[in-house]
Amino acid sequence: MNKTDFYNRFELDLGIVEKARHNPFYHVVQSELSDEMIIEGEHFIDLASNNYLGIANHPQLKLACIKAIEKYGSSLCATPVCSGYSDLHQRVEQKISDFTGIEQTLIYPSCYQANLGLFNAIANPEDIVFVDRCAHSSLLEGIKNSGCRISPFRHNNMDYLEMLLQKSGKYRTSFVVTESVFSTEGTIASFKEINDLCLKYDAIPIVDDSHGIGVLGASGRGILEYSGISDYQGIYTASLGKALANMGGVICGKASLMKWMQYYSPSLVYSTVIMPSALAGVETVLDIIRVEFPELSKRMWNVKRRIEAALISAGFDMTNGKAPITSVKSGNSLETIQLSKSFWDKRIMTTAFVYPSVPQHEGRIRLIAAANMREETIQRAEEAILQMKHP
Amino acid sequence: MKTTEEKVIEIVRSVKEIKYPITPDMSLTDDLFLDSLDMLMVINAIESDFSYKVDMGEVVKIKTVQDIIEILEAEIHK
Repeated sequence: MNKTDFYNRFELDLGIVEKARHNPFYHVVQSELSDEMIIEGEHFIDLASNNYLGIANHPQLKLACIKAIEKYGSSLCATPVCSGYSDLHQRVEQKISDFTGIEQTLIYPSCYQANLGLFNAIANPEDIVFVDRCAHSSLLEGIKNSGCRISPFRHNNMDYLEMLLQKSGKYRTSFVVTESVFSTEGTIASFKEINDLCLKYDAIPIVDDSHGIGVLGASGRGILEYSGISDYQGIYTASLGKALANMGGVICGKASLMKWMQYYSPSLVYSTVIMPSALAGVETVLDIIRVEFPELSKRMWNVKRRIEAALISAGFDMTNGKAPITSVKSGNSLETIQLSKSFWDKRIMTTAFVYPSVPQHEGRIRLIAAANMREETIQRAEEAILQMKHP
Repeated sequence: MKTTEEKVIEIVRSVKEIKYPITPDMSLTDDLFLDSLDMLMVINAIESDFSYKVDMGEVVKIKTVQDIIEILEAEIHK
């Protein structure tokens, strides 16, 4: 094998994109997120970003980020275990713990990194992980990397999970892993039942609440609040880059485990610490949520319901998720990209999911309507969708 | 009592909630659209229900439902 052969193996096949005459990926964004975004010089209605509460461009948030840059600079240029752990970082860790109701929090540069590194630190071939088959790539990759036994269960199917748990006796530790809100389907995990099954079978629950934190629950505290779970004994991860409108990811859990992971989680210990401006941003978003969540939530659900109603009226086949994610079933990869182009032509930005992000022939077009959508924008989106009447 | 073929088809059907008829000659990927996670669920169920450890060398050769049946029948008749 020579160098030419090596590089030839990685030639990107854009056949489907050429057939559809549209590439839904890597469009160049040229603006902040209001209810519109400027992409390649044109205004698009933003139904793509995960800016659920519509606060990514909040003046208070921008100011907090600027002040953090003035105090700490752009970066502390070090890992948290060395000289990168600031008073701000420590304070935000505590605030997230208070918000979620879990003993201790670690903040990572991203949730992908947190999930990838979590299983490496806590699991090995002596353990078994039961994971929802629709779980996010970061969880699946992290689980695979740990070398543990992997046992997927049918999506949100508690009978199937219990059947598998009943046979798990011979492993050192059993983990049950799920997302709270499934990012392509919009379904919400039966997490109360999962937690109860873990208590019954002495397994450790792990939930990725990336699309739940700041979204679910009466005060936006996520899946634990939504499920009525207090004194959670499992492990919790979440993204700070969706409803919390910044970047980064967290792992929260029992204080003794988190203290151990501060030293033994490679994706924390060996990675440059998250930027101070992002930490300040998260701190400010938590303050905003504390005061404004009821109104933001009401607006977010209202917009979701209107967009979903328009899609149903237009004849689209929906996934019927209960979360503020509206997902259209779009068939195979070509059909999905063609549908993405239809929305694009109406100047609506959506997110297309094709194989291998989703199973073959189970493509999805996802629409997330943020709380900051103005009435005129909602009406334009509704009219555009109805014009797309799907046979 | 169910045959090996019937048990294997039942496992494949249950993993993906397949409603249409499954025959042994069907390709797991091209006809039944099983991806790597679905295959893992099938292999785990086979190992549990048949008390047989499927080794990696056998897994990579599995393309159809019949391939799974043949591996199990070879083991049963050993």
